Amino acid sequence: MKKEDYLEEIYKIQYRNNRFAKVSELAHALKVSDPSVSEMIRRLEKEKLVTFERFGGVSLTALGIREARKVIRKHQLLEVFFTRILKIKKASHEEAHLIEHVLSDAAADKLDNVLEKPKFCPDGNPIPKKDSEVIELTKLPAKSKAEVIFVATKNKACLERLNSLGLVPQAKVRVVRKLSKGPLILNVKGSDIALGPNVCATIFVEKK
Amino acid sequence: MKCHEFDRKICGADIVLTGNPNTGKSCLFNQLTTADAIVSNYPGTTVEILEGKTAISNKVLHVADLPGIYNLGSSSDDEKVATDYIIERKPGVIVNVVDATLLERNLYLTLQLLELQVPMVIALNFYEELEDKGISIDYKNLSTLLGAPVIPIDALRGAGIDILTKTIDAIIRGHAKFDYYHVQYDDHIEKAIDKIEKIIEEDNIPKRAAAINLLEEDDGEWKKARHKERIRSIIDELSKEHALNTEIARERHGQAALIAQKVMIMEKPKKHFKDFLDRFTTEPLTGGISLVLVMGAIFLSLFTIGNYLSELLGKWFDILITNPSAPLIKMIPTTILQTIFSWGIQGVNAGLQIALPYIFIFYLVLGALEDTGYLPRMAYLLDRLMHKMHLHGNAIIPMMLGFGCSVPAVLATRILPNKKDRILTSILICMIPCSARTAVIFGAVGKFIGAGYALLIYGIVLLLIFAVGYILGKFLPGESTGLIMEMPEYRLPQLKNVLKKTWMRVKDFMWIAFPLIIIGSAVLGILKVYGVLEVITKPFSPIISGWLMLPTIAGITLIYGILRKEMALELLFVLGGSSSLLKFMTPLQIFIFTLVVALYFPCIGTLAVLRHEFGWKKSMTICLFTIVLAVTIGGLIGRLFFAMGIPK
Ligand SMILES: Nc1nc2c(ncn2[C@@H]2O[C@H](COP(=O)(O)OP(=O)(O)OP(=O)(O)O)[C@@H](O)[C@H]2O)c(=O)[nH]1
Ligand SMILES: [Mg+2]
Repeated sequence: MKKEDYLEEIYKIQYRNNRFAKVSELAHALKVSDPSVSEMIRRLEKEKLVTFERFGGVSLTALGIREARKVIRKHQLLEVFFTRILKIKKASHEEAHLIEHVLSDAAADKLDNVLEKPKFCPDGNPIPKKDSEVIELTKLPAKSKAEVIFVATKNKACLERLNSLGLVPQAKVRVVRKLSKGPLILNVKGSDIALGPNVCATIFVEKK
Repeated sequence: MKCHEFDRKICGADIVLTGNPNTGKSCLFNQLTTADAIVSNYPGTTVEILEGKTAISNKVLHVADLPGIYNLGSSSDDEKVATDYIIERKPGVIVNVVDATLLERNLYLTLQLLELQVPMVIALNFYEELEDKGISIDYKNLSTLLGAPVIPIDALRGAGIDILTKTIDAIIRGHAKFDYYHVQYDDHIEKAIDKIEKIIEEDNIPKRAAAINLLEEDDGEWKKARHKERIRSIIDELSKEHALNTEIARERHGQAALIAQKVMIMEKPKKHFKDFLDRFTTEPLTGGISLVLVMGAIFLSLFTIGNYLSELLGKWFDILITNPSAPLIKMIPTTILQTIFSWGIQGVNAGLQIALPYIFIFYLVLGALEDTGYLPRMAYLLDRLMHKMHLHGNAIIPMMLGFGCSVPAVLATRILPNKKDRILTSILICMIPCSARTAVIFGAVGKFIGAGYALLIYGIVLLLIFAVGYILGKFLPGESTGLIMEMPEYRLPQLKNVLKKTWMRVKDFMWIAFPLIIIGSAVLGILKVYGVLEVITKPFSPIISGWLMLPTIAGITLIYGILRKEMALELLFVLGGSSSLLKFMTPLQIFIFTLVVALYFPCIGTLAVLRHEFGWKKSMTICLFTIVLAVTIGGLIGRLFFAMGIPK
């Protein structure tokens, strides 16, 4: 199993579930043993691509998300290529999975152009844009706009509150005010909401 | 604040007011009923259920005002209280109060409420503010889309209330029929809903709503659910691939946005002074400056206006009551009755001079501050400071209320999302000088030693609060959610509302505190005449005179202070037999006395609310802790100051 596969899988789990990925879950999805997952996680941690807590699980860092999205972008573009151009429906996922690792960045961009910059993959998931800047909300400067990618929190009350306020994946937000290293005021759905730094650290956004 | 509202029996209502926080529910509640709910401009004003009565076409109906919520759930205690009430008590009509200026966000809860299939009216509040914001809403179309009546209202000035009551009346008479908007979720979720619906047995909400609640992992619904294993297996299977909670939320938000787009036209809003004010008070540098200015203004107004009023009242009391009554009292034959009367009058005098002016002025200022919408900004600005105490900015609001009275402040901690934050904040609130303690600080130290020393008491107390938070926060178990708080618009305080709030908060003082002072003074008088006073004070004298270096009479007043904090000082005047403390106490003694009063035992009312919220064990521990702290610090500071030879 390659590093990219892990990043991709962790991203998928986090994107789907708004939470950390568990070791056993990864082992199951990638069909490998728990120890080999742990070993890879340690490696990814060293490269600052993920953070790991023994009882919480793995979570991608902003850098990790960027890397994962690069692979996912290639994967999804290939899928579009297979279904739309080659009219291969069934095996497109597996084929794309094999090729995504060897497809160069430049080739992926060309493919993107040829396909006329598709927005969604055949399953209806949004395709990440090229050079999309993914950061923690904490790093978003004042006055800038962004789109939420996912919230990675283990705190149920926090997730529930953020969900009901409209801070869900793909929500459009704008930083109204910001104190250095401190809380910020975020405009979501027209209302200004103050968020503490530890809440912001769990929200990953794509800068617009 | 009515006393012990938290103990009131809840009876279930015909009309339930619900909606997002700060949308004007309590304002509407006051319009509909004769009740006095506190109305303030910050989310989380109401934290308990308030009930009142209203008459609609000659029928008496019960109305309930609930804490504001963003969704039906249990992510904080106030949200839980409101959600349980809506789900458990089958209201006749739900009045969903919606902030028209934030229609899209508010519709999220509306869509969720519609799933309950309870007769519902949507009250579109702040309708008059729309024009200013360049928004127009086609409320008739909104009503058609939602399948429920939508009535524009202005809860503050009462516009549209008559139409609202007529609509409620029609619903209660059963004249209105509803076909509600129905959120269609993604296929996999709909399939799961179908499956779960078949498993669920009886429930007091529709099976579909119950199924959705279960999918959203709602704790309340799970507690009631039967056949848990079967439902769990359906959900677990689905959770492997999906974040159900978030997907359901996203779908509801998406459909709320679509509905809002259909009925709303937005133009560029006008620029306002309040936008500038918002910027000024929340930018890093100017925000800090404004914070200092606001706190300084509160202190200064207490010191200047409070002192002025206090002296004025004292003067007139002497002229009108003390002096004319003196010869009359002399004519009373028995000494015991003489003592009771003269001490009773002195008690009232002390109450008027010490407590009333400062408490009154403080509540006036706090009431105005609450109405501007500044408190949530304070929470934002002080978030980082609060982290040092292992808390978050949201704890600032209950703590600020604690400067008024600890009882509603402890209740207000319900807005905090977890138990650890609630307990820690409540402990700190017990140490915050409430208005009664402020009266003692200003009436004793401020008046007889000087403003600087009054400020020093605040300094010491705040430092201690900081230290306790810093240390205790480390050891209290439990995880902490961060600050998530909506910033309301700045609004001009309404004089009428501020005066009403002030009256509601000081009237307890009139009805409870004054009789208590009179009785307390009289009892002391009797004890003194029969020589019992010395017997009672004796056992405490090692602590009172030995360690704290106070006159022995101070001990007995400290016991009275448990009933109400300001009584400690009032009875000190009575026992000392003079309206000047300096006649029988040194400045250092006044300082120590005040410090101890400020810190020890958070009065009987607070103990009751602590017990109600956290149980006996925790509340008694908190009280004991404050007593030990007060005595220790009082003695230590006393010795330190004695060595330094201050205050002179
Ligand atoms: N301009 C205007 N202000 C209003 C209107 N209704 C309420 N307000 C103000 O809005 C603020 C909030 O009102 P509340 O009645 O306390 O709101 P609530 O919904 O009870 O709030 P919570 O108890 O915190 O959930 C107060 O400052 C009111 O004066 C209105 O129709 N127009
Ligand atoms: Mg209210």
